[in-house]
Amino acid sequence: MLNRRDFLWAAAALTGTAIVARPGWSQTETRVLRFVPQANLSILDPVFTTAAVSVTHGYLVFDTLYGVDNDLQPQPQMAEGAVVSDDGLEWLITLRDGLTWHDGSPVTAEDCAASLDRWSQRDTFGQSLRAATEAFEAADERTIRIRLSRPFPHLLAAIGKPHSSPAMMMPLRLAQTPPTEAVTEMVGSGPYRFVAEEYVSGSRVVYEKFEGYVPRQEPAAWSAGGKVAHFDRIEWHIIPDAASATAALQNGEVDWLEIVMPDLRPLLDAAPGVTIQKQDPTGFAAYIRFNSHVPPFDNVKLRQAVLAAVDQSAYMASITGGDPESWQECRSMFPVTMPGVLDDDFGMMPGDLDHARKLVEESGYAGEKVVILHPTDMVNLAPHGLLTADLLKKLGLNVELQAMDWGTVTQRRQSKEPVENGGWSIFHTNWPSASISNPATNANIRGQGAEGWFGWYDDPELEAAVTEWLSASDPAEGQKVFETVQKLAMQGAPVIPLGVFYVNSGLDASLSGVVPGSASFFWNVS
Amino acid sequence: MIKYILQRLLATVPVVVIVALIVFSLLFLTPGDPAAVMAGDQATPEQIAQIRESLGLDQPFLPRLLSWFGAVLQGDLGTSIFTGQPVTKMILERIGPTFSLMLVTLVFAVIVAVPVGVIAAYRHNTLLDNAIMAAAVLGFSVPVFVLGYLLAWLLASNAQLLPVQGYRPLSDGVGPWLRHLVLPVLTVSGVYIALIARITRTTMLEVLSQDYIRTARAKGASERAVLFVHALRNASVQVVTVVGLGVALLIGGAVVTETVFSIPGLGRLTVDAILQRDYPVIQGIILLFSFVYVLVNLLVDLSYVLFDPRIRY
Amino acid sequence: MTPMQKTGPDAALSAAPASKRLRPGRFLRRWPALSLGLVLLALACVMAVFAPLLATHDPQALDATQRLKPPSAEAWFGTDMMGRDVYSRVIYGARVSLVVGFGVAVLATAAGMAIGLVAGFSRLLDSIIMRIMDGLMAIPSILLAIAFMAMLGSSVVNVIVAVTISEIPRVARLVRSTVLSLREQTYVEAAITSGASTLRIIWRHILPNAMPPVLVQATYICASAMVIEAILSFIGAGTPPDIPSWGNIMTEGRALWQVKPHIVAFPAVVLSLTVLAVNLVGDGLRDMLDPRRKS
Repeated sequence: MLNRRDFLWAAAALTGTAIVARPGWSQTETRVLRFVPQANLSILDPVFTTAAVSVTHGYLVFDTLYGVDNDLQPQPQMAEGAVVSDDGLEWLITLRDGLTWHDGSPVTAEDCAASLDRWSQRDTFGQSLRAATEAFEAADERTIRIRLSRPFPHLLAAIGKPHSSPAMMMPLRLAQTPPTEAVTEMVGSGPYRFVAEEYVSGSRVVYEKFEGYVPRQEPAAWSAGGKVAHFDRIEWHIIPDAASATAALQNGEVDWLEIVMPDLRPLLDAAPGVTIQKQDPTGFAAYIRFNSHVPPFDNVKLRQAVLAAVDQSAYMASITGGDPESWQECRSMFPVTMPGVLDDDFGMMPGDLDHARKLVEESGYAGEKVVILHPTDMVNLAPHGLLTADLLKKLGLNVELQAMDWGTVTQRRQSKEPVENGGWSIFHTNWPSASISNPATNANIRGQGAEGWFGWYDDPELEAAVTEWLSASDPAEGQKVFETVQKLAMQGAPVIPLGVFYVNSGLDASLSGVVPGSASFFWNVS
Repeated sequence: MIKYILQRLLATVPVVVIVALIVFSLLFLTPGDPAAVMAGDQATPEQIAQIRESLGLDQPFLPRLLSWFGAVLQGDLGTSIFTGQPVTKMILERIGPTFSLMLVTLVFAVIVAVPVGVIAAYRHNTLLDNAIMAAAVLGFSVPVFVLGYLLAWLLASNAQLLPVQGYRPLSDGVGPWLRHLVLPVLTVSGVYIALIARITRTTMLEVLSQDYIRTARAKGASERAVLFVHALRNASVQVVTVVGLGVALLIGGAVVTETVFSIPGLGRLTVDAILQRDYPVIQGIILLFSFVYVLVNLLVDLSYVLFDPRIRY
Repeated sequence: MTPMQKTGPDAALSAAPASKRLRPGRFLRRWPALSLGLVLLALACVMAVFAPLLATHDPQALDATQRLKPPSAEAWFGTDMMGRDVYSRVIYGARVSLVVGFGVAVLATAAGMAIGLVAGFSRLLDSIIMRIMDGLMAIPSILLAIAFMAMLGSSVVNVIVAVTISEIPRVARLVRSTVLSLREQTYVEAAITSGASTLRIIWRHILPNAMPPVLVQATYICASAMVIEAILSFIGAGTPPDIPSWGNIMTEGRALWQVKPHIVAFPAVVLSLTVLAVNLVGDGLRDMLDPRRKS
């Protein structure tokens, strides 16, 4: 053992070294921003996966033709503008000046058409667009032409969607990658360049300012406006343990913690030099997802019984550290923070256990087993499994909470078998509000049956309404159809809304200009 | 000697092959689907099926085993399903923290444990001996992550002396490197010190009762010389054997400690890979760890020559 | 650890009668560490058996309004993130730890002995079995157990299976080497030449001599299984969260150890004491059964 004096001396000496070695702000030319993302970045292709961390990474490296402003309306980003023919069947999108790929070559309409083609095979909104599309092509060097078979009024909203799988533009050779393979070479036209040599999955991701990026003149808002890069270098430090990440921000070892664990927030509130900022003002919407394909929840009455029983405050308290500012009730199948969403449960969510028990009785439930897939490694999902199991037991259902890791959930939920043969009845999920803001993108409520999202909710009437919404060109008419969709979805109860919660970021107080958005955006920050 | 080394090296081949077989079969039987994890939460079942096909995950057991095995024989551990990077590259990037942790722990534990064990044996049945042995049993009994949090709480959280998370590569300087290693090393070495100290004491007790020690004492050798030259040299074979076998403990300890202190090493890479079902990465790391274990124990066997002149290969 | 090998046929038995004559007071003075271990272990067993009587709350009862309360008269060890009573969970957690510890000790010992005996008596199977055992030994046991848990899914039974598999090789090796050294002994050779059946030789000569070291080994396996269960649960691959175990209580409080240390601290202390108890019993048994240590 070291003796005490030596030990203290060594510690002091080492602290001294550490202070000198710490990257400074003013004396060095390179300005570095150190960021702790919510999860490890393991897939680099933001079109391939819907993982939030890949989207955040994507916005650094890639750019989109359209972005959205703070009202979530599409605004030109790489595009100068778009014109649509009178019959609505041909769109021309012109690229603005000065767009360059990170390898130095200019961005062409051909690159972008190929990128749209690939994206439209991966993304749900993109697939809706693709179904109405004959071709994505280049009219000339700088003009993209999209030929449609039927009008698609939401085209700009689709290609400008901010989350998940935004339509990010890639050079032709990357855009030609089959949509079932992830792109691993990172050449984009976004404000930052991916430094492949320094990328260590699970530890560190590094970006450098792309000098060739020409930002727009408008002020930055959400994913639209001028993406002005003030930092020369952005380092992502992957710290999976929430306590360690919090300590790192407290000690000034990092500048920006993407997600502050609610229960650890008091530590940061007390820490000098740290500010807390709501990351996405539209929040995340949490749900119980039923398997509507197999008993017992193929019975709409039983789903409605659970819908009638849920108390959102318990669910929200369990993941927001009991902070009432960090969540709000959501009596809708769509996130109530999004435009056009009615805060109306159509009388289906009284939060009344006795009433719910009566509904269970009326449903003819006969003790069939309910299997809840319970991912213990997901902090925002695990508490909900326990609460739902507790709730269903109170309703007299025969519940089995099956604990597993998220990897197993993603496989188990693919099974359409009855619960006795390895099937499932319930899993929990949450979505960034912006990613499920309209009927086309909200996979939760789609009634495509066996073709649809896990749970295979089948509702032809609802699907007809979605198709109607997609082709409605008059906004007022569109809103009317949207409200019909909301009502049908509430009555069918393919999911149960548990509330909208907000996630806070922790920032070094010297940082300013962080743009709120459905992902962490690194432009405008100084 | 060289013939013996070659023989032993050859004998490790079936062990490593068996490890590879066990690991591969285990993972083949594991539920979970990397394609589904990759595609993200909103992917449709159809998209997942396409990805699975393009990854070759729809192939049956034998073709997959053979193609993997063939590649491994050529030194190719494959590429990660998720990042698309070669597994070898990923392992090399993450090996630094883990091997630093293991190596420093090994050295630290031996430096502490051997003298402690010798003293305990020398002061056999005294208060000191009992205290040392009590501490050793305690060291065995406190689970490694509990020790980790305890140390972090005592030394970092309250006293703010040391960083509680992260790792600095040696290229950042010896100071920061060691500073970040202090807590993890203390954590992992708990069990290891206990193990080595106990075996040192036990073996020394046996050696000290032998005739040649009495002879040495009678010849007027100093107590220090008797203990550390004559006795310890003879106890070394046993001690070194346990140091080698204990490398398994060290590996396990490193896996857990990396989680506690957020060290981006192989342990965390493994746990992450298991949670994501990144098969090639898991197979690669377990193979590597097993190889290290086998190799260390081969070295241990060979080192007997140094300690015991009667042993000849 | 290297096994302690017995030299004579009756090495194990000589210690037992001596200790039987000891009265409690003398036993305590003679084997203080063993006594402490037995007392602590008995306490843990009491916790496990009488959990429903000792607990003050339903260990599963969720209460969103009572999250993360510090220890108080109402909740002795405070509450966790879901508002559950930590004291009651710790009491019930004894069940998992003891079941896993004893379960693994018994199963691994039984399987290890069977495998070790087969390997020791069959030259043909010996090299195959021992290569497989070497392979299993070479895989770090924590990683092996995590991989098994990923395959089997989380449940207490699966934890026992996963940990047992990684512990079997240790027993098998110990038993095999005992068998091989005993076979060299003249009295065993004599029995073999006189035409005694293999089973009879095992029963009469091998088992009595192999038992004491195996018994000691079993206690260490028990302790190690308890620790591995906690580590698996801690990583999130062990006992399912609806069954309280010391490991998963700690997991749930892990991120909050700086602000709410009570969630981690209480199960940590109880777990450490229980593992300590088993280790003390193991050391005590080893000293009692080893003739060279009787001084």
